[in-house]
Amino acid sequence: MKNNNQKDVLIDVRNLKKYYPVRSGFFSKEHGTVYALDDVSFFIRENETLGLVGESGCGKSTLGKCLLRAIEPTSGSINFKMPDGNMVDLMQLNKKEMRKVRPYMQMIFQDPYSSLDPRMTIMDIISEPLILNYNISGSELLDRVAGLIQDVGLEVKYLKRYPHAFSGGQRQRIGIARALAVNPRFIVADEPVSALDVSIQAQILNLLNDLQEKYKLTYLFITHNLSVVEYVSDRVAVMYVGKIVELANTRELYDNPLHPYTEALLSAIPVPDPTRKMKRIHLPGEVASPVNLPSGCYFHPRCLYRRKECENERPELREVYPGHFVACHFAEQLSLRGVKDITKN
Amino acid sequence: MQQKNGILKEDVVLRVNGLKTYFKLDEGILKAVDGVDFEVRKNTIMGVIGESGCGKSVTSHSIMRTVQPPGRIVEGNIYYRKLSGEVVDLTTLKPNGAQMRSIRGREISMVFQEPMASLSPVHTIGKQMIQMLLIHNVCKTKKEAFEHGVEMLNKVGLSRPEQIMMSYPHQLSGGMCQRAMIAIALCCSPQLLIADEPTTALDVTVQANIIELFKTLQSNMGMSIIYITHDLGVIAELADEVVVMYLGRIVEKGSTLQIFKNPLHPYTRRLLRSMPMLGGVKRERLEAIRGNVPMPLNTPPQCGFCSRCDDAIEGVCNCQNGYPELLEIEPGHFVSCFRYSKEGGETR
Repeated sequence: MKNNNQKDVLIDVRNLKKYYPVRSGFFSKEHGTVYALDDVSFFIRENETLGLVGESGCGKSTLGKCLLRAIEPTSGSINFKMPDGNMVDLMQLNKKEMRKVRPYMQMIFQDPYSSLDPRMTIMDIISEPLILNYNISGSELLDRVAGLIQDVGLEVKYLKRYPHAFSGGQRQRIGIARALAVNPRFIVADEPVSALDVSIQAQILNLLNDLQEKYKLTYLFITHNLSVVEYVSDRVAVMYVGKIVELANTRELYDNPLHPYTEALLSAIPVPDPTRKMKRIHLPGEVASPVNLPSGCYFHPRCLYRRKECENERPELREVYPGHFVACHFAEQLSLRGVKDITKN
Repeated sequence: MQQKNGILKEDVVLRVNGLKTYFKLDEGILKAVDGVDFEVRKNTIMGVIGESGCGKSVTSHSIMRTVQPPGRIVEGNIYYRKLSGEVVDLTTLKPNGAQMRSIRGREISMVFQEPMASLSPVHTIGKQMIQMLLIHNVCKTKKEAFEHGVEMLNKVGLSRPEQIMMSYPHQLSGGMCQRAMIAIALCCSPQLLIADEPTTALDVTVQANIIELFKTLQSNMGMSIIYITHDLGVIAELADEVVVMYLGRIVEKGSTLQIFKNPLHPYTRRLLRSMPMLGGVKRERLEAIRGNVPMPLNTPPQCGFCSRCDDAIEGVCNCQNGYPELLEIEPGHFVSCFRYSKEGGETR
């Protein structure tokens, strides 16, 4: 992917791969590989939200964790722009050097019930990253934590309580405060609203938006909810079995999808309007297994537009229009329907 | 029992009347369902919308009589028209008695949220299905039951049904498990199906397939469905009538068109506006509902939404003075809110 010369790129990922060996038996003999991430390349600009969508098992969360090296990628490069403007390849850093970069990149987790330690008070949870990274204590620490808890819309008096005393939405706010504690530039938000009720979902989405403006944050927003991703993202990447199949500006992707899989995903969104009737595209079969990958294009067994070439040649992610990347041999020839055509009145 | 036949209108399968299901806990009484009335007509899909803790699942368990202690139905009736035409009050039956067991699974069936957790992991799909068919005397022999099972799996769109009959739940994907579970629920051709968040754990593409499946099965088999979910999109697509629940009570009910095009209750209105709409403008703030759903512990009889309501009018909303009545504002469209009065519609 080109454009690396652009100055505003915060994180530039190239050829990232993550393979897991499949072992079984007494001697744990290796007899296969899970291709969780298979040659993924993309970049995220500063102060931008990149949405990452795909079905369960497509490698969305693996990608998010690999960027922070919470999971060790197999190969590839992750160039991250440090606050001084230098690009650093995270893959070249050792553990000690990596710890210095960690404060700049943080994560918000999906399940607010299991991502907070039940034995720690809210004060302990939020202050832990501050103590570890900045070694501050006393009233300075208390001021910082109090500021953070107010930033996420909670009250200072809650600091002495334990996580069980809070509802799902409030816990998610605490998780966000913990991520913000070390002044990160980049946040991986892994399904931050999917465990929440509809009315609470909106509160958290608004909060993430406000914080982005206030602290000039960059988000990688991972979700399977296509309405949410449309709302929060500047650009959207669609993943299918460990590969990015399409990446474009949000409006462009939703109005003019170029990959047949994106078209099918868009057509499956339930719209809360009984007068709009969707023209559904039904994908035959199941999502391909990342252990036993199909030949050629991974999507071809389910694709409605497949031709001979699709079975043998693997399409590369290429820039078809400026800023619109797609991995399909026939992207220019297909005329696929976007959201507007699918939801005709 | 015969005199009860007059209670149900000709086309009604199930009528829930003033149902109250409470859980007696150490901390006090949890009013999970607190006075719910609705009717399910033949051949329709009724959607129930609500957030977690609003009592939608407890309502369905009350109908199935599977509420576990300390939960108990303390008041109300559930009138049900059996296939034989007889009308019974399910609340008077013994939960594990012969009559209830002949209804549960045979006439009223249920599909649960987590397909993997609700199927038995130590029995094959086929065994679970054959057992049900034999118990309810739908099939006489195992062989006949097996063939019937294969046919059902085919109906729900699973390929290679013979192989699936032989497999255990862990060998199937989430979508396949959910289809298998729907097949099990439908194999005795019930007249009422309760689907409790059947697609929440699934991907959008699989969800779209399952919704389509419900639609075709409903029109082919002529049954009624109570579809419980918090996903407004699914309800808009599937349901004929909608019930909106909040804190164990119905706040609004009406036809799907009425609820989505002309929502009356402040809660329904806010809920609809708090969803990111497809094709909407980015960065336009979502109208979130402030606060959280309160715990329904020892709640006094009052409007449950008042602590989060921004549309309350002083003097009109006597939120502390009992429950607002469920009023019919337009034909078939009911709302429970102090802002509405029988005569003059909405106070603004």
